[in-house]
Amino acid sequence: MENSPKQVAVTIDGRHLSVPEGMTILEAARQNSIRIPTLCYHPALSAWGGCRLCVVEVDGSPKLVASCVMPVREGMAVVTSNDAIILARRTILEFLFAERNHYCMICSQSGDCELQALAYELQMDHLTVPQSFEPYPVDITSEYMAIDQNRCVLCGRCVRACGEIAGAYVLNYQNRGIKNQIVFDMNVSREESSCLSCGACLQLCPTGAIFNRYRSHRSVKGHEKSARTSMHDFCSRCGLMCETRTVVENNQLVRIDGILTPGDLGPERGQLCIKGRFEALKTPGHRLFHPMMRDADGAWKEVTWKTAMDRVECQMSAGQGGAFGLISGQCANEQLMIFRDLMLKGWAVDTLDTLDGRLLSTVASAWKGLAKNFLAFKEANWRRILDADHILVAGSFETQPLIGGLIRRAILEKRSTVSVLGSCDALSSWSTHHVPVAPGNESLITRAFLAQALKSHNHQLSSGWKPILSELASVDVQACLTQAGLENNAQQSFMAAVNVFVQSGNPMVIAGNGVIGPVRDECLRNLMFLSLIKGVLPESALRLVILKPRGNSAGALKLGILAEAQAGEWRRGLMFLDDENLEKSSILDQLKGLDFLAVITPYFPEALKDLAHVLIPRPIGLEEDGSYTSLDGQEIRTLYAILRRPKAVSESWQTLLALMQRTDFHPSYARWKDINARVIGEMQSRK
Amino acid sequence: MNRLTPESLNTLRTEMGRFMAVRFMDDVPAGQPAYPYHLMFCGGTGCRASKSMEIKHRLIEAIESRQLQDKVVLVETGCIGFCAHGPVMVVYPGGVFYQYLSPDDMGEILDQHILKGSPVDRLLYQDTGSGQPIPRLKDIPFFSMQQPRVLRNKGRIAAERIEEYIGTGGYSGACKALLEMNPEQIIKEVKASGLRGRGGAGFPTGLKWEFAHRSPGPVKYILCNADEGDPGAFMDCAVLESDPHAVLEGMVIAAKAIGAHQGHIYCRAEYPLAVKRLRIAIDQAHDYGLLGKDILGSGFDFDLDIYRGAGAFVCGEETALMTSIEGKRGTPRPRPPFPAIQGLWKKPTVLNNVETLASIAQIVINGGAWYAELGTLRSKGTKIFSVTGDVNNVGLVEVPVGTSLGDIVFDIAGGIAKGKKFKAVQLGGPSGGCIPGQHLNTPVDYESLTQLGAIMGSGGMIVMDQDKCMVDVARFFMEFCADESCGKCTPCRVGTRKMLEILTRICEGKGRSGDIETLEKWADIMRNTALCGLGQTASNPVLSTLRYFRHEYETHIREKRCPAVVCASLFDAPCQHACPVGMEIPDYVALIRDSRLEDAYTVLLRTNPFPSICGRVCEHNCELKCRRSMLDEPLGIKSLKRYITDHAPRPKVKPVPVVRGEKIAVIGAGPSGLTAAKDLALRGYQVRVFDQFSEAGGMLRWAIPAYRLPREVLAREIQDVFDLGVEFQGNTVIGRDISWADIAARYQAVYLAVGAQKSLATDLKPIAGVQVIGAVEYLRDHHLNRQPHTGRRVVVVGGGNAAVDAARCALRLGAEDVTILYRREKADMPAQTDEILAAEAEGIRLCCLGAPLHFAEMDGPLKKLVCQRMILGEFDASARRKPVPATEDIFVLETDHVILAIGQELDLAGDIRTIGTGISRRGLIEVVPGKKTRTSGTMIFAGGDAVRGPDTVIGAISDGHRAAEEMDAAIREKNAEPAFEPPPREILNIPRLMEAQAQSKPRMSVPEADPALRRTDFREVELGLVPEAAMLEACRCLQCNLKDGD
Repeated sequence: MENSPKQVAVTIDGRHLSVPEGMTILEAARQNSIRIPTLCYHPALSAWGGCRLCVVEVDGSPKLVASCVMPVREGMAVVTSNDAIILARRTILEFLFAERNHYCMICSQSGDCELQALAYELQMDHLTVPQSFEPYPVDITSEYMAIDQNRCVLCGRCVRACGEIAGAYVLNYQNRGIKNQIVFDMNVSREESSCLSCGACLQLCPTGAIFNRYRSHRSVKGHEKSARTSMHDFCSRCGLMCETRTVVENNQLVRIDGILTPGDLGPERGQLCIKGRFEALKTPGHRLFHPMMRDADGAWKEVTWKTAMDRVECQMSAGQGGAFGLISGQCANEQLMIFRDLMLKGWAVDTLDTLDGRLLSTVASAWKGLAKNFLAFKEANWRRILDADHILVAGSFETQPLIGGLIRRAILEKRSTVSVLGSCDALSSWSTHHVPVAPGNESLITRAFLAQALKSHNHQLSSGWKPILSELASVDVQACLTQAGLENNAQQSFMAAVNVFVQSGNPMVIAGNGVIGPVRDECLRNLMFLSLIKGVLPESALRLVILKPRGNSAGALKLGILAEAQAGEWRRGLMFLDDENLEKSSILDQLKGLDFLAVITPYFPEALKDLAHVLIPRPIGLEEDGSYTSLDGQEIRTLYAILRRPKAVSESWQTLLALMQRTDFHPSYARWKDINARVIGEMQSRK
Repeated sequence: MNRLTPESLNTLRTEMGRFMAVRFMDDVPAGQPAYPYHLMFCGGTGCRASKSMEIKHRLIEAIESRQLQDKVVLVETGCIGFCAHGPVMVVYPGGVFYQYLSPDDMGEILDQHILKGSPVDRLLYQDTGSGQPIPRLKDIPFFSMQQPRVLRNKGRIAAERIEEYIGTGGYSGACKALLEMNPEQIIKEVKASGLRGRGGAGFPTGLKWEFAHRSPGPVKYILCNADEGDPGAFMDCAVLESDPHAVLEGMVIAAKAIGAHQGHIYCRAEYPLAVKRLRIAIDQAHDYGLLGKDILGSGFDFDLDIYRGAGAFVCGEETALMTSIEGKRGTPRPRPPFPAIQGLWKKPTVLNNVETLASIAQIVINGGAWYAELGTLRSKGTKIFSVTGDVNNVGLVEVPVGTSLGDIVFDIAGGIAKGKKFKAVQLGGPSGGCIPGQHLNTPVDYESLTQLGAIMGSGGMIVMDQDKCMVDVARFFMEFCADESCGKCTPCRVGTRKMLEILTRICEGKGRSGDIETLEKWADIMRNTALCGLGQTASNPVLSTLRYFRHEYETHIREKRCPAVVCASLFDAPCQHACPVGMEIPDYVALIRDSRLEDAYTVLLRTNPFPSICGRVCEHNCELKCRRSMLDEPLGIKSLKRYITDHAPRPKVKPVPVVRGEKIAVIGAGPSGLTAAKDLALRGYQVRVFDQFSEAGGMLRWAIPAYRLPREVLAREIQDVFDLGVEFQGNTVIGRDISWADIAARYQAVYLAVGAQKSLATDLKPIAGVQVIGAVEYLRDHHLNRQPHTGRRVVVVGGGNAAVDAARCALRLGAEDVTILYRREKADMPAQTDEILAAEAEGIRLCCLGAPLHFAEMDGPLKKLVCQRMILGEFDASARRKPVPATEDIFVLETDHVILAIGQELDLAGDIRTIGTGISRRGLIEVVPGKKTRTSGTMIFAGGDAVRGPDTVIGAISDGHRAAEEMDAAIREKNAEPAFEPPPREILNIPRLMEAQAQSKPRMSVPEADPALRRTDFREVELGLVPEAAMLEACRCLQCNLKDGD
């Protein structure tokens, strides 16, 4: 083939090999199952050549070379192991052990540490290099991870991970020589730094220098090896469906890693975010193992399943109006669908919605608005952000933190330009143009942006644009900006941002937190039209990524779980929760003083302890199978249970189905397989 | 804008050349010149540090007040290289060199020199040897032996005026390269020149350019490495400050050669003046169109800027430098890819050092062949060295590559300051190594230095005298590397630190056996595995000092001693540490101050059985290391010691009864044997001392004349030893009078302290009428009252103490005329300086640089001693120039008596060879490695001159102490007894320094007998201090032994 690289002939440990030109000695050796120890090297990162443990002898020269950075050359003769090499590696390893405090027995990562493993591999059973080190600082300001400099070997994998994978460049080195130290920003604590807690550094740290505070000391010897499983699946927490590897030991979640095997790296390069990596490890409260009911004095008592189910059936089918059903947008498609059927067909409630209020309905109505004048389009796949030469960000991306990393990497690697409308702290210092928007002015500014963009746009537009053009013809951009209170330089940024957008060849618009919502209906629509000006992507997708609030919001949207408007007063209802914390939720106000509230939830919901009447346990997400819909609604993937659910707790679909059986509605499904097939069918028909 | 064309460049050059012509007139024309004087005033960093700017302002005032504006042109130049003599100024015509200027001198210079035409003598350079003023720069050896090419404009042009650079032919190289040459031609010329990168590694510059030239791509960079950071190196600084345009012009030419249009100069921020002058230079070059678009109308564009380095040493490494320019943390990157393929911003890049680039224009103008005329086979051209350290002339030196190290250190840099001895040169900074005296003849080029374990480096040359501890030097450089390691790679980051820990430990006296081997092992691993040059070479100073000075490491580790008396953790007072027997000098000096002379005497006797003898004849190493000498002159320790013994009653040492069954024989009743006998007697042994002569004393009695050491003083101290119960058996030669077998049977241990008592002979063929005798034999005969023959005109051959003693003795025994014939220079004579001066005062003639050839007949009682005139040639192992015959230059001394004092050897009488001790190639007794006195013979120990060769009294005493210790320890070990525990010492309360007592008086001189009177008899020459003088002298002691809180 024309594109395949030239092959060169090399000899490694006497084996004659043919490997692609430009490959490093290490890669060539690994490809041929020749083991060379490494520490600072990681296939997901650029080569660094710092630790020098991978030294090999080339062409008989006494000076050893680092195989991780030395490309192969035609005719090269490599020896990966002889007495001199082993002595050098051992000494270097001893240097590392003597440099800082590496007493494994008090290290959180003992048993799960590359440095320790190397010591075994190189048979370093004692230290000949005298130890002399000062205590180094330990940073535990982060809720999620601890940074213990005493265990650091300065391999720099975290630094490279932070830059190359997260695109954040928060971590770097400070000081020279033995005083070398990894620091956050300009040596501030983790908490004060600009770190976004994506945990890429943590996953790549070969020792216990950066470790997960939720799961430290989890891998000590004594845990049965066979009890440990890991599963390659995906994260369901925001719809990006990042690939993960979930590690479980004795039915306990140990950690969730990104996939960093070479070849498997998508544009996200195996990165996870704070939600995917850490939040699943958090437990928001006590697990619920038995149904509970609140008696007259407000005390919660355990009851039998039958008592609880009877109570729910009795209250929900009372038929006096004011019934509602609320389900978390984090739940699997199957749960959403049965819940919907139970609510609408079983109990015919007045309101069925997700916990996110009317956020989803604004998305639906924006799509409807677009459909009036144009053919049906899809949303863009978020992975296309990295292809864009210009990115227009409206709102923030707290719900999908990974998007920020992609944008930063687009800026750094592709020299993409970025304009930000509104506040987006994580990006404001990175953006090319930043237009501050006061809350409430989002629609106004996006309308002005669209109008100005259309004015500057020179190409012919299709007939579908006519009503929009006439609607926008009357918009006085200058007046809008003045009305929105933009200062002079902000107005200039606005105009510059419009120009960059119009001139860009391959832009992408991101609608994030703050621009989706009831009072900002028009905002999303404006962004849709705006992205449409620059044409659609080959897969007939808009140049638009809408960041939805929950992991399966797109599924809820497709299954029609969205309330256009609230119908009357709520009197009694059933809530279906995942692991969200409702303490600060605005929905609590609406739940006060209800006649009846039943909640199906994995955890005891502290926020609802004085509001709910019946609690019914359900497994957590990792304990049951379920399918999820991707952010753009285009992909459905099934996640299989990796943890065993508690014996006393039924699977969610069974609980819902049991309630359904007490109604007059008899669904055509009875087994999970049927439910799954039906959901997928329904989703596809709605594409 | 004043853009130049080739034509207008030429016109400007001619015009400026006319104006500057006077600066090239090295001879003073007769009468007042018709054109103004040019005062070339040094404005380099070195002179500025000596407040030269103040002087400049005063000079301007003085010129104005005398209205000399028309007669004088004041030019502020860059560094002219003679920094230690700054502030300096050169006046043209004539090139009169003024040094150590102060503001008040300015008026005098104008009045005397400018108005009257006669230089101000007191401000001129003075010859190191004769002290005569040398007015003209070109006659000063420091300058006359240099061949400046890169520094050709130093002191001749104003550093901040491009016109003056153009006036010396500047930018004509760029003009030629841009308009007449293509890149291939330029590269060919540079390759032909043989120029190698002056940054350190010495990679051929032309080849480097060729790689980058062949590298495809429209964007390339040329970088200048001005991040000079080696300790002791400042040549780049000087080039940038004195001639910045030479670098710019080199960069323009390099840019054309490789096809770059942008360059960066990476200059360390610690060089503010260099940065300022570079900025000015770049602006001026822009104004003239010598940088920027379409340079000189050639169509070639090139621009450059300055990147200021933030002070990281590693950023001098090329990949780290590039990373730093990219705005990242300056750490090296692995190679390949090499910078010529992927350098700055991943574009083909050439990085050259300042000096390399400053050589380029000359090569282009004069051709590569011209450049290659100088230098060695593989290293061409000239190299600048910054010579620093313990030399008389610290400064910048540009010489052809291949000039010998000794020529640079001794001829150009004026040799070692303060009359100390040369020890080593550290070359190449932290990556370099130390070269010891035996390699002073080495031509300084890349290959020779590498062979010796050093490198050329950027040209930092730190000269070290005998007072430098090589372990400490290695520790210093390792500390530098450990601090400057970027920390990226493990071997460098941790290895340098761990090696530093070991070196520090050794310097603190906590070294362990195996440390040296560990250092060597780690050094090897670091060299083979570190990422960049910094780590790979960081251990070079350790390896090179280990190679040449391993014994210093061993002494630190085994004996916890620092031979150079530097490592302060190992001692309290330097004088005490320098003394071979560790005399408690600060204590007895403090007791003198407290007028407790008897206590002081007790202190003397604790370490030295012969203090009155040593107070007269000791070589006093202690005074060499005295810290007082940093202020004015060292304390007169020797004379204070004698003062105590002269003025206090001698404390009696209490005898110890014989408690041990073993008997010990000491062969030789010299200072070493007697010391051992005394120590052993005090440990309860029965000791018998044998000597071939009737009386004890050895060389003290038979060699040192009475005018230095009165016989009664000698007798009293020797008697003390016998008072302890030591037996003496004189007139006995072992092997003749008693057999070795007898000795072995009767004594459990033997100490051989037989001395080296036979004078070395020469191949001088005797002739009738001239007595030829060895100095030792002559002196011994005299002391044995054998009335040796003393001629009328005596020639003593040699330069040591024996020669001087023999000469002065001969004088006293009736010689009319005594001449000492020595083959080297007076400064090289091993005899004590005081002795030489005393001999000269008595009328003894020194005839240096001469060697006896043969006798020749002549009429009368005198005969001719035909001598060869010697000249000093290459350096020998003692770091002195070796005398070699000056062909056919002979002279004649008339004499009837020749005394040979050219060395002594062991008298192997009595067949010592049969007893199993090893004999070295020098004919001396060998001791077992790791021991001081033990030999391979069964329970046979040896010390003093018999082991050392002719050496000092105090050295012999020290060996005596060691021998007693080792013999006792060996006996106890054999008997499985515990080690000897010395009896508790009498506690003497030593007074502390009183502020009021601290004296800033000069050293008290010791009164001497009148030379005219003393030369005829054997009265003592030195008369000793009087009490008032002794008190003042004692108060000069700084009491270095006191610690915080004492």
